[in-house]
Amino acid sequence: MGLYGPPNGGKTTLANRICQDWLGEDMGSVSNVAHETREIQIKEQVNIKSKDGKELSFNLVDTPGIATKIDYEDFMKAGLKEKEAKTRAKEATKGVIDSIKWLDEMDAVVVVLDATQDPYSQVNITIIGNLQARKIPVLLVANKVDLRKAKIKKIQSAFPQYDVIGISAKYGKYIDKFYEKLFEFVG
Amino acid sequence: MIDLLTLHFIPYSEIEDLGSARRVKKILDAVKENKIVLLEGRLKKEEETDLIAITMEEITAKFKGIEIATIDPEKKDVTLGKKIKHGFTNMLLGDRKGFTIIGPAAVVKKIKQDPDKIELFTKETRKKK
Repeated sequence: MGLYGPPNGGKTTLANRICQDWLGEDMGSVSNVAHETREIQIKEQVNIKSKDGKELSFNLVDTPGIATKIDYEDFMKAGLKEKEAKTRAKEATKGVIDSIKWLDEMDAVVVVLDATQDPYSQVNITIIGNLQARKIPVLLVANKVDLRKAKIKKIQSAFPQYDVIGISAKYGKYIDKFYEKLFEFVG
Repeated sequence: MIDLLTLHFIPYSEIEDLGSARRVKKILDAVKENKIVLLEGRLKKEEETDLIAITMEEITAKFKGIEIATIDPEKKDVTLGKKIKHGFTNMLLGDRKGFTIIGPAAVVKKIKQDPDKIELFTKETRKKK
């Protein structure tokens, strides 16, 4: 099961939440600077249990955020030195390509969107459209619902054909509902 | 600072007979010349991801990537009658429907889209519709 989405939507935060809840360990580092995850990360054999005793086992794949532009100067604005920013940009471009290549390897995908951001971006539309074309089941997560600006309904109206579950991966808010939904989704 | 924006219109007939790789190259070549491409119709889903992947391969300090948006005229239509009508139109027109705007990220700061309109913000924060 892959976690896909634009940068800074909270994919790794959700991956860490899942891994902490069921394996007792983190999956990757998180940062406010975009493109923190620049390589595909895999956690094998994640086993989760439902309240009624069902079990679900999957390999969790955390992917770099998909973007159409990467500017090293944006990383400098976020406080990185020029050399560091250029290296990050180079790695980030490779990360985007890897994320796209890995689409074909997925059996199911959770698309993680920042609920405080406008969902009508072409990156979101392209990711979801590609998954639909490949007939890969998609669950939409509206993350960061702990923030006042979060608007789950906007994501629902942008992608009315999909289930949208609002969570805060950072604080674990509604994470039980997310797990319940996972059972319905891939079960 | 860029004072003049060039809008490069590509009719669908110009890409209709091209393979995916050549379609993507044609668009990207124009965008890399700092032109904003207005494409009649849209790319196939896999071509959109190809466009993103190839864009990533070509990013340099000067070429920072692209901004892209598509207007799909049937997005808003949800009634069964309209779905059937558009299903028939799809058979006839395929990917020729709608418009796609692709601009260089160095010129286009953001393309904001909703089902009704596309707003294009340039680096000078001029607003166009």
